[in-house]
Amino acid sequence: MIFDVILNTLRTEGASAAYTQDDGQTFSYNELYKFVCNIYGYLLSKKTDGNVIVYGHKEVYMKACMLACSFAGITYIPVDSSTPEERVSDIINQAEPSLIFGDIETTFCKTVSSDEINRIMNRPVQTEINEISLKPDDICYMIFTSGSTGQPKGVKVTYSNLDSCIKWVKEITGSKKEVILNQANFSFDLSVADFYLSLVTGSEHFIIGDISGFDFSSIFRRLEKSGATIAVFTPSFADLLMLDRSFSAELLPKLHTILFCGEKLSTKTVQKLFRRFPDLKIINSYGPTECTFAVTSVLLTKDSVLEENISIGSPKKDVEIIICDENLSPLPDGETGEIMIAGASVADGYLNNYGRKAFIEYDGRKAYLTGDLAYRQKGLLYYKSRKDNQIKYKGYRIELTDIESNLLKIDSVEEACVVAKRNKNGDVTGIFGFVKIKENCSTDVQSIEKELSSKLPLYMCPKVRIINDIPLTANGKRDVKKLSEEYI
Amino acid sequence: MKEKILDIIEEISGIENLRERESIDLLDHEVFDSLALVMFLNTLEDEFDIEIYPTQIDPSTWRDIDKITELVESLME
Repeated sequence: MIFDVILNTLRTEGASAAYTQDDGQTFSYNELYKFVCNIYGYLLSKKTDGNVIVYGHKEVYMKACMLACSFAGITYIPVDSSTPEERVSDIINQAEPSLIFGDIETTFCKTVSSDEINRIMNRPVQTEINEISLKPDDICYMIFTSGSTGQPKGVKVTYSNLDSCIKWVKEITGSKKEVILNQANFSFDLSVADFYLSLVTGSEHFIIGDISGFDFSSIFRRLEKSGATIAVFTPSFADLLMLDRSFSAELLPKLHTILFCGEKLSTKTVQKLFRRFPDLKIINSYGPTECTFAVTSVLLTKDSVLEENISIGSPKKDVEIIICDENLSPLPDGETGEIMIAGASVADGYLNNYGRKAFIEYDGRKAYLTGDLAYRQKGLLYYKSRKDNQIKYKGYRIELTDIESNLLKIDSVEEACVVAKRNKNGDVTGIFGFVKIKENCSTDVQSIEKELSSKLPLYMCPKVRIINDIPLTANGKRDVKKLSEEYI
Repeated sequence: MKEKILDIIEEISGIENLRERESIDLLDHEVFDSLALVMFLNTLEDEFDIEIYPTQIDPSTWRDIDKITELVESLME
């Protein structure tokens, strides 16, 4: 299984580059192996078990700690440092970790600061990794996603889920020894593909750091220097890079493949990419975190861009996709229904059995009801929309009711209704939170937005609008259409 | 010009009454995130028939409405 391959990579790739950070610092496989061994030794010496949170932002210690946990048979939970404090507390309370790696202040369990981790990593190696304690059905990692009740929910991904995923990603990308660009932080499951693909192929994992200042000149210098051959991107990120016409084969002459996942890929994005990179292999893929990164893929050709709706492809071999009606009966080709995923990629459910209805048994196998609507035509799947209040925004999956619940936690807020703004293609371009303020309370938009940003990640924070009353339809339901038309 | 640019930013970002606080830092106040910046620059290019090369622009431009206005005016000359 893949951790046997990864262990072999760590031991044999020697001085080859394993991990290159934004500041240009590169760590070889020799160094990464040393770091992993030392963290592994630390975990064993402390008799650590259960769940371990790995907190930070793409530092090399995150990669070392996550791998060490797996070799030691411990479930890791990656949490990016951009996550607001309250959200981190929710995750800690739910996951009940036995240890936290990273700079979090908590009394819940022992924490190991980043300085201390670096000291441990750089000791002379005392404990080599001689066995892989993780078993196929063990939970390898948990990633927390937006939950409809206002609490994040942890998806339990097993070692065999991950094994199946990474073997498939290697196959569809045709990866050998590559330089693989990373866009996503490690608590976003898009990163699972580049994180592990680099390890099973002995490739360099090249981290694109903070882009929030939009210093394109600096970002492009780093990209050029990377010599990247494969990129794992959300379509939004490719759109951002393509704002500058120099994002082309001249800048990245060795780039042969982009693997897209996380949100709907538009015809316009693909057309532009083919113009800038005429020989590029563009792969579109689809899948929820609950099914381990992705379960369908399609290699796009220049003919694909003639279609209005880009396909999400066909399923990997060990997974079946059923387009079903409300009674879970399969629908014929061309008819739109819910995507049900059955087979090897389906995760082991949510932590604490949250949302049990989505994970079901179908035809004797584990299955997951995605809430995504799609249809099948000539063997290919086409995504249509969601059947509920969940949206995709900047590649992140967000439950609008999660935002509403958090707005309602603010003392001055009496009612809240969150609405997604969409463009003519139906893509979400903004989120608006309409709030009714309690009588005798004095507050303003800025105060509410500030308080909400302490509860939710930035990508989930809506633009707040204070209104006198949330409008209702004749049936007494909240009139989302009216809110959209009148206020957005 | 500046008025038109303010209209575009308000429309794209969903921020109200930007005119009342037009000296704010557009990035620190989260007026632009990556998605909004893509929409904004594409709209500027279409609206004013200009070509923007972000790699050739001082990144502090994205923070300041006046600097953005100067940029658009210079590209239209």
